Amino acid sequence: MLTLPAPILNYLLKTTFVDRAPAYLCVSQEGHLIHWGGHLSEYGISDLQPGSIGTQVFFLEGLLPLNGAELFLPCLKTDIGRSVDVYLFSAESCDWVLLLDATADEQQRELLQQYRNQLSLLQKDSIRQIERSLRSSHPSPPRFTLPLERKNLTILAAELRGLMSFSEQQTPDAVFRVFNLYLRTIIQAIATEAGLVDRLLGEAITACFGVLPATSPAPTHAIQAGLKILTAVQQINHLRQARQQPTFEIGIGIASGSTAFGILGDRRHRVLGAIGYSVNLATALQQQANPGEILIDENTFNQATLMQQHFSAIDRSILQFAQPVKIYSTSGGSSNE
Amino acid sequence: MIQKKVCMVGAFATGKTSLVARYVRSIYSAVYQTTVGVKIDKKVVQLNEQELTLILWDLHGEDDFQKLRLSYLRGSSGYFLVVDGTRQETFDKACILQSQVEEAIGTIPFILLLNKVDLKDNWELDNAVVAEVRDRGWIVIESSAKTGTGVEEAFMTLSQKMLEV
Repeated sequence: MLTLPAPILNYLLKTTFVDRAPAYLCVSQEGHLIHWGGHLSEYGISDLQPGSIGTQVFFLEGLLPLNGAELFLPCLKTDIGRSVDVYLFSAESCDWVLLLDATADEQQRELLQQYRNQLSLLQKDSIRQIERSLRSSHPSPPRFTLPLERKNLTILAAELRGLMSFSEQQTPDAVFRVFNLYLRTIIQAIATEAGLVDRLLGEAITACFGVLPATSPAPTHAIQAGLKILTAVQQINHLRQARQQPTFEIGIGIASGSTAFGILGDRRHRVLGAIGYSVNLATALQQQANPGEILIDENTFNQATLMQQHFSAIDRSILQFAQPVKIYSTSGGSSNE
Repeated sequence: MIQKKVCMVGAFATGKTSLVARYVRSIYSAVYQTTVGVKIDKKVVQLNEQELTLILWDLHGEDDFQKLRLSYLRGSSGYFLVVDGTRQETFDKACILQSQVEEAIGTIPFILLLNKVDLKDNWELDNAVVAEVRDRGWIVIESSAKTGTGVEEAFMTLSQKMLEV
């Protein structure tokens, strides 16, 4: 058997066991509670009597006898509200039930799961809105197989900078808490300007304008969403700076043009799809944008006449594009980088 | 006293937790809150002059990253397969889960709940597919945790079926 020094064993015991309010029950093969101990009251288990386990610990209904099986039931929560990992195993002709507090694990998993599921529901909702919108413009579109169609869209690409390096130094729940804080405001700004979140990958987010019906031209809405995002991120940063917490900057690129757009996949897994020059250009502009800057292409500038006052032409080359691209910035003229 | 373990099974965000909250506590919240692991509740019901305690296991919803943990199902006497009527893919998922449950714990009574019937305007379910599972002998009940439609009926029907076994 592996022998470990006492400090290691003590540390392992403390971190994996002692700090997790251990408790146990010992039940005979006939279902009689023989003995018990540990922090049972913390799990709402009290007034136990020797004899039938029956109704004394109601969540064990149906689980015993184990007949040699081993069970692990993670994050089990009763009306007492405390999450517990339950281990069931047989030894010395008895069935043993070991309870260990799982609050920390539950909290971490909850954050990730909630975020993931809400995002999935959000995308589903977006798809439903598009289907409604397209149904009103097509007499009888097929229900689950809307083809890609070419539309004049405005694409907004944004990226939170510094989050990846932050994530390497922090626990996953801290990273997701912070990311969610920024992301909520970004998605809100996009939604209020009739935009649809098309893609969310790592620190980057892409949204389409011009799919849902809106009161102004799509480029105007996209720029307004961009300005709202900059303001919201600034406000969050001020608050976090005051608390001496790390802050993150954002760069935004916006491009307009003819784009193939539709719903990809089948009824089991459907995603929004936007493919075209504008998508690539918006992403390239976002990569070139300085922190707190919005870069837009000429199409967007020309169509958003009411927003032109916020921009001025700059001389900056976009490396990925062979042809020169005329671009406009919220920050005024800056040198070629 | 008779006790029976009942599991709530289905894709994420189909309304499993809300159905239990509606049935046990007569409450409903529109805010989506994911379930981690399993939440256990109980409710005592009177059925045919018998007192029956239902131990309700509300299992986390299955998604692309988290599969159903079959150990939670051990000792179940019945289960609900919960579908969100506004999301067709949750019906497909329920059908897959039904086979998995049957393989893990054998044939026991179950009911397919087509939940969120209050959102029938956004209904996505294919009537022909629903008819097909009814033809297979599945009990199908439309329900709404929001309005309470079909909830009492579903739990009472399953209780009855479990006592008949």
